[in-house]
Amino acid sequence: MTNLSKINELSSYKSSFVLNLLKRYQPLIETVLLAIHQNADGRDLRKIYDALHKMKPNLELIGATDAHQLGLLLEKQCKNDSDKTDEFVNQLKIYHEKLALLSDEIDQLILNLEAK
Amino acid sequence: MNYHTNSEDVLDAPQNSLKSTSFSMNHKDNSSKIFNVMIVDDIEINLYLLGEIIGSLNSKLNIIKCISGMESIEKFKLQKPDILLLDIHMPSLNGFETAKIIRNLEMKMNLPPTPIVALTADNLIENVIDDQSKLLFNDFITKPIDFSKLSKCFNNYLSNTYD
Repeated sequence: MTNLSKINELSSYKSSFVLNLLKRYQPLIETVLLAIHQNADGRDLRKIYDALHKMKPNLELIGATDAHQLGLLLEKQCKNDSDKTDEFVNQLKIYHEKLALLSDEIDQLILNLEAK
Repeated sequence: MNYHTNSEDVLDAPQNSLKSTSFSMNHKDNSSKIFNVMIVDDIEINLYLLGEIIGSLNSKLNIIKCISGMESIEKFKLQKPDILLLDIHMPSLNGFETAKIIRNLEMKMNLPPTPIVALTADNLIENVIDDQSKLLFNDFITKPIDFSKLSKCFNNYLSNTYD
């Protein structure tokens, strides 16, 4: 789900840098997950947009391509003021699931790096 | 004014690594000068990443981190930065509002204008550029940051300011 090649290249494969960076992902993901959970019915588009916007560059950075692409799509839909369809709500749910999985994966990556 | 817009090539080239991206002070007699770089972003991970990268560009860059627009304004009064990297999308005071207050402060304090670089996660930089933002910001960079472009920014604005 993730591809750390960009971060590894950026850090010249310095694992302490990668570890510190990943540790800072968790609070951000938790904030975004909560914001989306609280607006899972698509009620407050502003809050959803803010959450998606926060995650966007960070998903790109860790190579979470699927979640990044879905986030872009949802962000675009949030900008459109028309009523949100069931499809939007479903996609938001999928995005939430992807982030939750990403959070677990990052937890594991952190454990692996700490064990080294 | 320069608009750095290419988000596709962001961070994917080896020359963007911490080691190979460099910022050279190519202007006259600034050998002992320490440059204050203020970075403002409400996301902690962004502050960390930016701080690490800027720190690796040149040892003469002193990084001042701010987690909000309000904090940057307070710190601006005490430690006039040589360049300010300001996130646009922040709660409470956003980047536009923060820049406007800082420009007013500069006028009141009779200070020369600080180079302010707007940071945005908008893929289309045109979305954030209008006549007002062109007056407030010297430059615009998209996130994730392309650090070779950031380095060029430092060379442009710190050189121009201190020649």
